[in-house]
Amino acid sequence: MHWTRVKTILILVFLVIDIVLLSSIIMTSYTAPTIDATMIEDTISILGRNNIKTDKSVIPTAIQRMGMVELRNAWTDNDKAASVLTGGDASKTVSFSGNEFYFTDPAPVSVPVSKDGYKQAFENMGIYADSNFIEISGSSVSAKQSIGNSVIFETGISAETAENGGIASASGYWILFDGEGSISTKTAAQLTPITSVLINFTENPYRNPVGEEITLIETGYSLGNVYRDTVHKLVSVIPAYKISCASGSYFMYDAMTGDFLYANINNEIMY
Amino acid sequence: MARQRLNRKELYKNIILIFLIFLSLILFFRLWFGNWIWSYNADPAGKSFFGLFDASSKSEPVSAEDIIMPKQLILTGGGKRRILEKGTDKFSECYNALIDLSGQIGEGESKPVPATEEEFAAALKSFSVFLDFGSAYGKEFLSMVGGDDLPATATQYILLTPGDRVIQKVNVYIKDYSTGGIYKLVSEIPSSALTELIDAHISADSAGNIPFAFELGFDKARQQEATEISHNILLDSYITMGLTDENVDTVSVSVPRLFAEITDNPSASDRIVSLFGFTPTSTRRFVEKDDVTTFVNKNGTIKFSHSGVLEYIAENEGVSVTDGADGAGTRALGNIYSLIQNIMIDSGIGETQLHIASDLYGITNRSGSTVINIDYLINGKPVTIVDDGKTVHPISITLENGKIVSYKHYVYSFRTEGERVSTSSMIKAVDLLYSQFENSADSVTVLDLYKSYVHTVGGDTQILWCAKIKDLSDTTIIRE
Repeated sequence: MHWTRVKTILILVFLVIDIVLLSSIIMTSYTAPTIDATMIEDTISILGRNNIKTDKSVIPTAIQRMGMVELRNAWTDNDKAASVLTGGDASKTVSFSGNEFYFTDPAPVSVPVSKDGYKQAFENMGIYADSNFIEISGSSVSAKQSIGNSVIFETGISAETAENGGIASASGYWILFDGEGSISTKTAAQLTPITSVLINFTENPYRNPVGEEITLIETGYSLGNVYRDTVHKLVSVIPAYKISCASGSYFMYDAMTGDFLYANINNEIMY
Repeated sequence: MARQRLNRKELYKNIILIFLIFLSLILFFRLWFGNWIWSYNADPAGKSFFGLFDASSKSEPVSAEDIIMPKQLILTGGGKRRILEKGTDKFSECYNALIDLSGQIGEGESKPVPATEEEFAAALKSFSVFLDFGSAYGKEFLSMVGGDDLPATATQYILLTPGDRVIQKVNVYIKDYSTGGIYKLVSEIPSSALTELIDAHISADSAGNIPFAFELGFDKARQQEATEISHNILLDSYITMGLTDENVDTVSVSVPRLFAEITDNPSASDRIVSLFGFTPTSTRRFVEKDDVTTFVNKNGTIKFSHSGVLEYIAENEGVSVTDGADGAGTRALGNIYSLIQNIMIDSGIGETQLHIASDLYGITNRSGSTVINIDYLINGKPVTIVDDGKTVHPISITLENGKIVSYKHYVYSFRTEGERVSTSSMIKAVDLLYSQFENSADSVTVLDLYKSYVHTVGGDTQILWCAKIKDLSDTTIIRE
């Protein structure tokens, strides 16, 4: 066989290898790996042996890729936060308690009663909420802060509307963004599978040992167990799993490491 | 022509083949190792020990011999006395010569024997080199004088003096820190070598009158005398009493820019937090309203303040500085020194002369926690920090079971300004100290009296006399 022909064959072989490898990389990068059904069955079985009930539909099977996110907060002092929230209108009032603000507007501007309408109304207060995370219930409106498609569990506001639909009052904790560069994401990585976290949950000292029923598992971002109650110029949020139970308690886990962060038992934070 | 075209075609084929082989290798490694490289689970707590020896660490491991040095050498001979302070060229020259001789200390058949206080005092007044370590060191650190063979558990003072005319070997006296007992060892060092060393370092202009406190009786309790000086203050016997004023260089202190720009310079802060075993990619960062930047992970917190204070508090076990093997104490100290120097380097300052201000013996065997205070040494003088009205050491480390559980470091750089200021004599400082404590009901024992660069956080830097007083944890600043 001529050497030139060998080279041609080798070029074709390596071309095929490279195409396979490249598509494999693209597949792993853009397709979230999943937890197989057997693993989920085994986890439910272990939970059951530890008096923890759940349904397999509650357990998310996709293993997401997420990274820690740093947020620059325009709330460097209460005066600045007040000026962002009121837009400099002296008729509006803002008071503060810890990291919570209380806002009132005696003459709110009319707002169309829709998610997009309230999205705009919140933006006028310097609060940039995704309309997917705005809920309208009668005269009440609530919004969760989000990064991409994931919420930050500890932040959010609830508002009451006036007859014209405008926001008459609002309260909550919101990390106020200050233009470009407010959000920076560190390198994303594959999260710890929720099944590993659920196995750790069986040893959680704050869960009810007599019995617990997991009703919801959410993936989002958390401020963690420290500095939840104070305002910072720069805040880091980490990918987290929030495990909610039928009792009303919920348990927060670091989704990168699988470590327990804190629990909310009867509205008391334990860690 | 056709042959030329054929050659060009072959050349293209070769290039394409080589490119495809390289591409397949890159893709293979990216696919195989990619997820491992980026996995958060690869670390996080496991790096706590290796953080100290990270490849990015620039300071070489430090040996105990390089750390445990006398604070000062006091040379006596021919009616003259000279004090050489650590950090000065003359000190290094003389100390290196002593180290060269020290190899002959434990070589002979002689065993340490008890000696009397009077013999020690007489030796001090004659031809001698007195090594004042400033703090007590356990014998595990004192390999220079025989280490494990020493009868004393710890010592602060070592004295070398030429022996008698018959044997002509240097006598080494070691004062036991715990019991106050004195041991004498006849070394194999020829007396002439020590005499030559003293002669070489006592210059013609050396002061003739720098008495020790015991030579003036300041170390003994006396009855109230006719003068107004209260003698409820006792000085350690071996404090030297300079009788004349001295000119000292002034220095300015600055905080590295890193501390003011911590959020804009993540690479430098990441290198420092890595030294404490934190993995930057999984460490949360918070900037408080007063601009203190706090790094948080499950191992603890590290704070950087704009005033140059770096503070680490362990959440769980802390940062290991020893593996518990033989020589753990010296290894711990070497690792602590490397940690400090790496912080200084990563802060953009560079390696800095340090001095251990705490007694250091049995640090790895003590139950409970041990605090190690370390001072900067600038122009041979320690630096004292005044923060919020309280005097503190520039570096303070708490060890528990061989692990650092807290670390506080005032990260400063110092620059000698080229000006010299006159400082009062020690006798004047003693007078001021008496005034400061004249109303004290209890007897006050002064363990050390020294000039220090006193820096007030956010304020100026002065050269002042300071005193280390028994049973007082804070340094006492003597002010006029």
